[in-house]
Amino acid sequence: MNVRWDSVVDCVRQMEPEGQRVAREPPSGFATAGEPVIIKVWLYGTLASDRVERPIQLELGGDFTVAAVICELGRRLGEDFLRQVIDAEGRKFNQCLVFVDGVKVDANVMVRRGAASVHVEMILLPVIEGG
Amino acid sequence: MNDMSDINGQAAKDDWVPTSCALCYGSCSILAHRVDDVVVKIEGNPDSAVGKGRLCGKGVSGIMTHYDPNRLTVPLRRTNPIKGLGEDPGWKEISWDEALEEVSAQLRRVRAEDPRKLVVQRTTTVTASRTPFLTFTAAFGTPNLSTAGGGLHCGNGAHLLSGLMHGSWSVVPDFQYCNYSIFFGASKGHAAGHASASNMGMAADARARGMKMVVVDPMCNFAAAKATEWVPLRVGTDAALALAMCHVMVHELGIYDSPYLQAKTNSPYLIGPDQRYVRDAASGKPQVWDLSVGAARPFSDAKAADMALTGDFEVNGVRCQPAFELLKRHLRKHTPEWGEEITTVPAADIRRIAGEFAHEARIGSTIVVEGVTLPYRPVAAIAFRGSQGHMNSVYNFFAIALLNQLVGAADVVGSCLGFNPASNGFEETGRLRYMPHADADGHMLTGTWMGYHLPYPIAEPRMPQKVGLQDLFVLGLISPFLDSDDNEAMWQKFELPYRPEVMINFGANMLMSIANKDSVARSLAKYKFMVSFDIFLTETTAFADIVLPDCGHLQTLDSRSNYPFIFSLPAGMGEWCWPIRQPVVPPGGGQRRFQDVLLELADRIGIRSDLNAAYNASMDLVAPYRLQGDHKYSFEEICDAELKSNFGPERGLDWFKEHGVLKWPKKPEEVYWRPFVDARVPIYWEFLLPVYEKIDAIAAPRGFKIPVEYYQPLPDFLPCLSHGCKVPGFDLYAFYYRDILHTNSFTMENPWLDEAAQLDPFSYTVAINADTGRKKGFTDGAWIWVENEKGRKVKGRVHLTQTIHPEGLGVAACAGHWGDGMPIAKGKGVFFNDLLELDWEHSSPINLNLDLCARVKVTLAEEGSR
Repeated sequence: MNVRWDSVVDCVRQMEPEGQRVAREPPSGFATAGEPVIIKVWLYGTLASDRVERPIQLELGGDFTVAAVICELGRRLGEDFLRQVIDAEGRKFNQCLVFVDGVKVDANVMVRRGAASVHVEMILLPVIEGG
Repeated sequence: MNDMSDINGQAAKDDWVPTSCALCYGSCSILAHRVDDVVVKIEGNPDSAVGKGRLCGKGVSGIMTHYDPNRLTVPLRRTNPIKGLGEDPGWKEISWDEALEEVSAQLRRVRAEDPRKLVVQRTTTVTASRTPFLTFTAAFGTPNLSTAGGGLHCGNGAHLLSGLMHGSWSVVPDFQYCNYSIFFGASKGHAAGHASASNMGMAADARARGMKMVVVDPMCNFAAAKATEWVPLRVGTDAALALAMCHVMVHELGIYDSPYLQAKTNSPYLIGPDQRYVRDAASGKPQVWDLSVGAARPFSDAKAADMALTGDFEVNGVRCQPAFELLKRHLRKHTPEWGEEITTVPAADIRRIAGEFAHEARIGSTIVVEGVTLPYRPVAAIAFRGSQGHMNSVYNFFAIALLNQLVGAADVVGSCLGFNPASNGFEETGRLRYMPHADADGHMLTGTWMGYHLPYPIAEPRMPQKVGLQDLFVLGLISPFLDSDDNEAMWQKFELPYRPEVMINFGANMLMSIANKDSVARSLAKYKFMVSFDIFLTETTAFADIVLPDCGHLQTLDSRSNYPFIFSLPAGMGEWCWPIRQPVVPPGGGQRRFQDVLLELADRIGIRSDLNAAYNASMDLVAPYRLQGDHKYSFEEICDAELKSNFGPERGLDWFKEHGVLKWPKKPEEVYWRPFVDARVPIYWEFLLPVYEKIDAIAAPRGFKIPVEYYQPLPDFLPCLSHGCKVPGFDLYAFYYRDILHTNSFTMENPWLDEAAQLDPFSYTVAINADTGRKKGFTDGAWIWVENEKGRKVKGRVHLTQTIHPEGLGVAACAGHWGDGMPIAKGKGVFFNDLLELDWEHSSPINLNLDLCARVKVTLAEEGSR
């Protein structure tokens, strides 16, 4: 008896949304209504440099995602920074890990609104393994 | 029981310490018997799922490596500034403080100028080195991390395909339930490798149960010696054999699993004349032809059962076909007769084996495992080092993977399994969960990976920032360009903005493991500074400026000796298992653990906060165990943090030191996850076309042509350079093969393993087919020269045997040491890699695989001269 693959078990669709692309320019209407959130960003490894304070303090209003934080960092630190973090299509590199308040997140994750400060860490890990 | 009392009648301190082996990267769990602080015996740990109490000869011999009097015990500094083959470094003993001050000064300089100038290289043998070097490299800020020959020779093809098709690092038959396995150039369960000792037991049980095992390999060695059938084939032609088998299954037998192809692959996706998906204009999703409505629809909007697999259709005026239709057409030319011409495997055998495989797949059948009804496909075609050691490795693996995909034998009961691609994690804490899932196109993404160069989606090619150029050749893992003869030309062509200046080497003997020693030596000599951690003075440490004496596996600590689970935890039903590696005996002399040294170096150069952040990231530590600021944690504290982060406050380092392993049962839905995950694997690689275009857009304007035939969406047989050799006299295909007695070039120094190797007729010899050899006038044991087309030569004793293809010349392992630092190893065996060229011409243009077969001529040593 030929049993169909998709009838053997209940297969729940679990497609994850594609990681939000990062706009190279800040989205319009950036500072929307709502209390601004203080974001302290620690950059590590190759993302850090002697010219960059640690932490970098950002202030963003309204609802925003990690992608928006990256965009704002790009505005402050320039193309050299962005080139290490996002590809030509605006997607965050896999090897760029972002943590919000100690929890690993993807670029499309919403950072909570409110006046509380948020702690963001970013680091690049080596891409290659082998053997 | 032996009385271990001393002469005064005092009881000896006598205990068994659970830890992990490191004689190969299998990292089997062991028990080290310690009496009065001396290790007297090593056995497998029956409590662990890793090894299941079994241990190979290498593992039990670890005691001899540990107590080798030739081990390094003090830091050394070279006094001879000239680096080269045959140069005496003029070693001088120095203090650790002096050594680390000099290393730190170099690292500070490089970090200030451009951190990318640092290249970090480690051996794959010591799995404990992975996380500490990954984190140090990240903290320092260089992208240049490599794994020398162990990486370059053994993974660029295998890991890419295993990841793409199975969400894992490697694949293995489901030994518990498989009835028919085909091993293409693989020895899983019969020699070393991932989960080796566990696999050995499972493979033996499978053979005793009646699993038919067919081994396709030019050499009948460890796997084929146990097989039901050995199929000798011409070196490097695996793809041709697999494609011919696919032809038989699809065109002659008409046996393939349509429901599987409809539901779990991109077979139904419509392909246009541009070889790309025909996408829905509104959603951008690939479309399928929905037979129930007679129209094209986004794949997510149609039921799998209604998706056409074959036929010609028209969508908005564009002619298109399902990907499977294109595969069918593509396979038409790959007849068994075509396959015989290329592989030398008789067409009748190709038909027979294909038929056996297809029929035993039992398409449509199900089985109940622990109360769960699952698809049952008790066949598996696996591949590893043999198939992947060639320029055509990607298509070798792709073609072999198609065999499983055609019959739905992928990650279901009895089939080809990835090593643990899916896990529900540790229930008590909810940690360690990962699961393959789908992207917007429905393609499978891995749930976890060993690094961040994911098998899919493929990274965007760009102007390279890495010395290995993998950010341009984005399907490549480990690169030959760190050491190749033409690396400077490549760097100039692709405008690499810096040059490597400093190397940190951990245990890798790259002078032996990569290719011919002249090429590698030239590259090594260019480094301004090199520091090497090692346990012996090797051929490579002879190029170092400073050598640091490392601790061995019985002296070191590692909180994750078998994690990620996709690497060396056994596949199939059984138990999840988390062992650790812990010190059994203290460091000897001036030896120090490399993990501690890296922490001290980080402090000396002022990157401790970056290193802490890197550990937080790579171990995914959660509060309250995340490392804070620039606090100077010891390595014990870091290991403790990881263990508690994963398993709770009661199970830190002390708990694991006492218990050795933590286990919990696997569920069928984890092991046989494929039916439960709505994701598809590609039997048509549409994604490859834009990758080629982007690489070509960068390369072509620089006068560098990438051959497009390597980037086609369906696999084909592409010959290696050796297949095209027409020079008279060069009539044999030379290759090396894994020796169960040895790991890379490291274990020849172990006197027990050396003794066993000397008793074995293959370990230190050059194997040639007996009939072939006698025609050349050879007698068994005669000294012969083996010479490649460029005039590189190696010498060895010939062993005439029927257990090798008539055109094959096989050399075991990575032997032939010439250095003085490993006196047991010196002069034993044949240095095969000296026959390998190291340049773009001999590298795969798609995954940077070095071509590891060479066309050679052989002459009696009395006739030859150098």
